[in-house]
Amino acid sequence: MKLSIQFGYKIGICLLVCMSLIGEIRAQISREYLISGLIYKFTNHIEWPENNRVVFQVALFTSKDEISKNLYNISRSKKINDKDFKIVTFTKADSSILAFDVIFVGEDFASEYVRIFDLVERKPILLISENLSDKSLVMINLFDKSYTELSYEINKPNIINQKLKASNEILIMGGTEIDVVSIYLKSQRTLRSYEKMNMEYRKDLDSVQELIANNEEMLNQQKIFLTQQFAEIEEQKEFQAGQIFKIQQYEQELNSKSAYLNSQKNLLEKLTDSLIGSQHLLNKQYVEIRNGQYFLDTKTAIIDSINREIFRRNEILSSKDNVIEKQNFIMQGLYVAVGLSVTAAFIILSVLWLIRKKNMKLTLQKERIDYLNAQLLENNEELHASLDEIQLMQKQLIQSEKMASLGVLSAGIAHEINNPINFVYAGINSLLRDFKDIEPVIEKISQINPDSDNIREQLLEIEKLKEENYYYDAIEAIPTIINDIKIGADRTAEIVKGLRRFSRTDQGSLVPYDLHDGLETSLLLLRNKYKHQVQLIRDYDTEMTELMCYAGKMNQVFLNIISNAIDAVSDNGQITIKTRLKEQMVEVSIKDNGCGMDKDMLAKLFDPFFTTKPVGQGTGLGLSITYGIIKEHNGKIEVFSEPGIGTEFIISFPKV
Amino acid sequence: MKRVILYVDDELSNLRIFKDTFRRDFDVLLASSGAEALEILQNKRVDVVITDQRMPGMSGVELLAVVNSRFPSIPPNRVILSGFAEDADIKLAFDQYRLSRFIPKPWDYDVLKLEIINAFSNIE
Repeated sequence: MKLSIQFGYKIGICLLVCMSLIGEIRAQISREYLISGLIYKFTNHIEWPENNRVVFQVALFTSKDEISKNLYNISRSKKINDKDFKIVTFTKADSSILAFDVIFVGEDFASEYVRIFDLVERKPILLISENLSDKSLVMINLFDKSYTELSYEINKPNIINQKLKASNEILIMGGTEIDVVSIYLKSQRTLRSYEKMNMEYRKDLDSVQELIANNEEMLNQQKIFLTQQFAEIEEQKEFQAGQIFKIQQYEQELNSKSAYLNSQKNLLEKLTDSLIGSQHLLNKQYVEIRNGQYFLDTKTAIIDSINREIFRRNEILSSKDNVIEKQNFIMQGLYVAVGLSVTAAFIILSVLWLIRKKNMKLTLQKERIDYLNAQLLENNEELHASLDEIQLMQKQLIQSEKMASLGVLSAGIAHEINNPINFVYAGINSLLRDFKDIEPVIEKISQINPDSDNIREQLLEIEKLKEENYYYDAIEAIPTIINDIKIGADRTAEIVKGLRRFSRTDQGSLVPYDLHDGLETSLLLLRNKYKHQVQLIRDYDTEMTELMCYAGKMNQVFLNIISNAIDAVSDNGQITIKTRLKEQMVEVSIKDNGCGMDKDMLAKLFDPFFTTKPVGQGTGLGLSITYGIIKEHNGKIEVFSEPGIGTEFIISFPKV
Repeated sequence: MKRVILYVDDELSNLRIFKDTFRRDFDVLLASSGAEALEILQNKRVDVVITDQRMPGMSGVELLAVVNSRFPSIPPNRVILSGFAEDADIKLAFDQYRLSRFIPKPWDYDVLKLEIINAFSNIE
């Protein structure tokens, strides 16, 4: 007798007495026969859910023919659940077994059991196994209790799981119920051992993670190192930026120093001016001193003549003395007169002494004046020398500015001349080839013999020759090419004429000057610089008269100002050149819509060496020289400018 | 079949003279600006391009740059630059756009023809 607990049984928890011994079956009859009988018996104690199946289906997975034979025999006379039943033997499990109600899996098919179990799970199909070791998968299991004893065991929860119901009588035949608790405990144990394994794996994992963490730390350290290096690089960059800043400061210092030098130079010029002024003053003073000296000299001469007169009188007096001595004897009474004379002589002598003293003082003054004069002369010479030097420097500067603007011009002029030269050069080449084409035709024509009777043939021959030689193409092209050559030659000549006009060497004298001609010459030379991006508007006064100018210099003025205007405008700029004849003056306005200038720039505009262009592209002398040339012509130059709007230069000269 | 040359120059006289000089040797197409040249390139087969450098709107080097990117069928070694150019521009054209040749003006017939034939030989 055995006691067991049922789990999940519908009626509730109840204790059942299982009488296993009763179900024990002796092995007097064959084991297979017994199995087939048991299968039949089990099926009759199982309650299937309602279905409208007519035939009850039994599947057998066994190689033992006796089982199927026996069952077949049973099926001929008996029914299962009041239905006929049918037996099919399988050797392989597939989804077709789902059509069966009972499946027996023999121990020779034990390896298939799990698969079959999974296939039929939760479907109303009863599985009967043989000697199955995994009790948790059992529904009904037949097992050999001993060598001679066949028994069976039932796992009710699994049967219920199939939505089948096993009647209690099923155990009365001698089966046992499987102790689900112990299976549960066993599975718990297995689970725990798995958990243990899991723990070990976790330990391994932890150590691996530790390793990873270590690596990460190393990585972090490397990162920190890299960051430090970056920071160092940044520092170096900053240091470099600082150095650059320093260099810029040095540059600024240099600039301010050069500005200071410029201002010193201006100061020097001013000093030179004031020196020249003071020299004039000194010269004047010198002349005055000379005059004074002359005055003194005449006075001295007068005094000398007075002295001489006194001497003469003295002599006369002494001769008279002799006479008086002689007369002393004669005229005792004259003693009183002699005494009077001596007194007079004393008075005269004292006067003489006074005059002498004054004379000496004058001589001293003269010496001092002479010394001052010598010093003045020396100063004067030094001043002349420095003035010469400054003038030489100025000449050199003007020359270098001229060379610079020539350099800028020459590149443009070269291109300007290049195209028309190409018309001529390439044009003549083309003309030559055209001529070569028509030459044989002309030859042939000149050979025509009008007297011969095959004129027609000859003409045909000529026509053929013409076609062979592209005669008509050439005849068509020749006049055009000749015209192009002429255009080229004209244009070249015009440019050369302009250059010659520009560099006129008549700088020494005033010559009649056609203002519009001069403007056009400058424009011609600058054509290459403005032709693609500037719209030029000429507003010339038709009444304009000739001026008297230093022509070359005047051209330089216009070239400078127009060239600046072209530099100031960007693409699609506009330059307006306006001339006006006024009552006393002639006025030229050159106006652009370019970038313009602010007040600071305007203030420095005419300063020598002031330039807005990068180093090497402008000398900064252009406008200061322009200013000088206009002053030389007694003219006036005015500038109006606003940033972003444009600049206008107005130059005016007296008419005569 | 004659080779096709496209000549680009803003001077009409140069265009006429070029065509008359080379009409016996090649099929000559003419364009008076870069834009016109690009339009012709889009519609016609061209073997060699010869362009003036200084032109309004688009310079020869700029045209070369566009041909490089838009008309790979005309490799840069089949473009010839002509005229009078700043050294820096020519250097750029040689370095960056793999220009074939620079021929200064005024051109000589024999030299220019030789250069054109050399450029053709780059086709194969």
